[in-house]
Amino acid sequence: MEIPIGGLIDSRHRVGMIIGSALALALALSARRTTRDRLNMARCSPSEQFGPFAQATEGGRIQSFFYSWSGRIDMLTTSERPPIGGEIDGPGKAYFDQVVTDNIMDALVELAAEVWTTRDRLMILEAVLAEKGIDAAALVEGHVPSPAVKGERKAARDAFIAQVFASFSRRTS
Amino acid sequence: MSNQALSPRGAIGVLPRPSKLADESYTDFVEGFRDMALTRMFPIMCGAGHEALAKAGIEPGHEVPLDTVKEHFNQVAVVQTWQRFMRSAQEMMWRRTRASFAFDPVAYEALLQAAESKGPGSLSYDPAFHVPDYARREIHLQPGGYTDDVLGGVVYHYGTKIFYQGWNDQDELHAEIAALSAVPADGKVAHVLDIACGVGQGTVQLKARFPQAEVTGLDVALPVLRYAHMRSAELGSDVAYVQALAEDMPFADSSIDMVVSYIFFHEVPVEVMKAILFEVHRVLRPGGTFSIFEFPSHGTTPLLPAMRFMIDYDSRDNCEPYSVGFVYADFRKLIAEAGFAVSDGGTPANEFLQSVVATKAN
Repeated sequence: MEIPIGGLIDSRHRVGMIIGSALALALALSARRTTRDRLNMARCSPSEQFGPFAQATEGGRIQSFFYSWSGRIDMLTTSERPPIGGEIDGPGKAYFDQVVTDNIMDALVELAAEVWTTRDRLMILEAVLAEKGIDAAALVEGHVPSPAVKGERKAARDAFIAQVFASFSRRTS
Repeated sequence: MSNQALSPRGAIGVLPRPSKLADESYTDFVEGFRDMALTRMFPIMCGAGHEALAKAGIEPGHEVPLDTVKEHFNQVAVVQTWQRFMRSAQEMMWRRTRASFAFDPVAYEALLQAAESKGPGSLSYDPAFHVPDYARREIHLQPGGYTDDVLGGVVYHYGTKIFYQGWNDQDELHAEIAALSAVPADGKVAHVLDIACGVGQGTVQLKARFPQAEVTGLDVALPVLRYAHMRSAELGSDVAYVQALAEDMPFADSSIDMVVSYIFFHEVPVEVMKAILFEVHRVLRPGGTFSIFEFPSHGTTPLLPAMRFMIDYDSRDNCEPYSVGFVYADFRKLIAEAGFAVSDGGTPANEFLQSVVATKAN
């Protein structure tokens, strides 16, 4: 069950310094557990996930398909319903007392995926170029980027950082 | 499968390629990462959880209450990490797979629409068909589940490619299921029904095995059926797909010779499962066979805490809302109660699956 953290914090300010310090520790522990419990509430029950929409569309063909995690991605939707992806969107699940640990884990796996993706592409690229008789390694080492290439690389870098560290914004407390 | 509207990078055999190499490499990583979590970390996780129970003075036997198991398991770092990794891998798989095949959803929709009037094969559905609430879950965390995302067919196809870790890229496992499906004792096979056929991987294989028979794929979810029909037509397979409930099928009594289901029953509530078994019995002709390939169900068999923890995790955090009911049901007894004679089926290479043949009496 979700505990109203704010209410507990308010009550903390009504006690004295000594009791408050002890309570603060208890609250901190309680808040961590509460956060994890809140994130981990079952989310695929019929009433929470699809109940209202199922009633609203009873007898009608499902027509609202095109959603992404940032919202609709086209105009084909003809009826209102919760966006798809509710299971993996939002704060998701947490397994550690401090959600920052979950965030670091997510970042680690995302980072590893990106490292592998890049290595995979480089291996393919070098193989393709070698088949054409091109020594890619020497050309890459000696490359001087143009302003346009610099801009592209900056944009790609920023997108990369946003992807790897997305979890820290998804689960904030 | 080379349609450019499905993927600008075409297909390898019958498997469409993600729209970018980066997506293919990324999901390839997820495939390997998931394998690591399942094959290397899982036994370590189980051992560490049992050790935590033992340290607390609790014998890690089957009688330990689940809440107690979870309380102690969840304090162990490797248990927390295993859950984090499994969940993260699943989220990454669906996010990247869907994003990759959503590169042009309007073109994809047009492709599905155009395929509906093409053969071989057919697709039948009623626009007023009501998908029951129980089916509208984001099973396995797939966005929109089977029922609510127009991209669900191709997303499911490639997502399960990752789930199968490369063993089913060319429908090899579905071919094996079709080959193991039991033929009635009299050898007569005029109509074969694949219930919960999904994207039709098994249905196409059944048609290949029984080219002279009428082969029907049935599913509740239109997005996967539309994809199944498009795919079957491209493969030249004459299969009839129909959107319907397995517990309320549009077939006459005693009209089907063989029914096949593959990892289906753990995804419906137990009460629906019972209704499906009776419905299959109704549509099968005397002597007809129902071949069931399914995850294990344990009934009252005692399970170690780690296994119960894993089952609970999978239900809770991998959106398998009905799997717990299935796992602890006496599946064979329920099949028998529907009127079938129950026997062992052929064993697939994936020995994790239970294989049952339910035969309707002559």
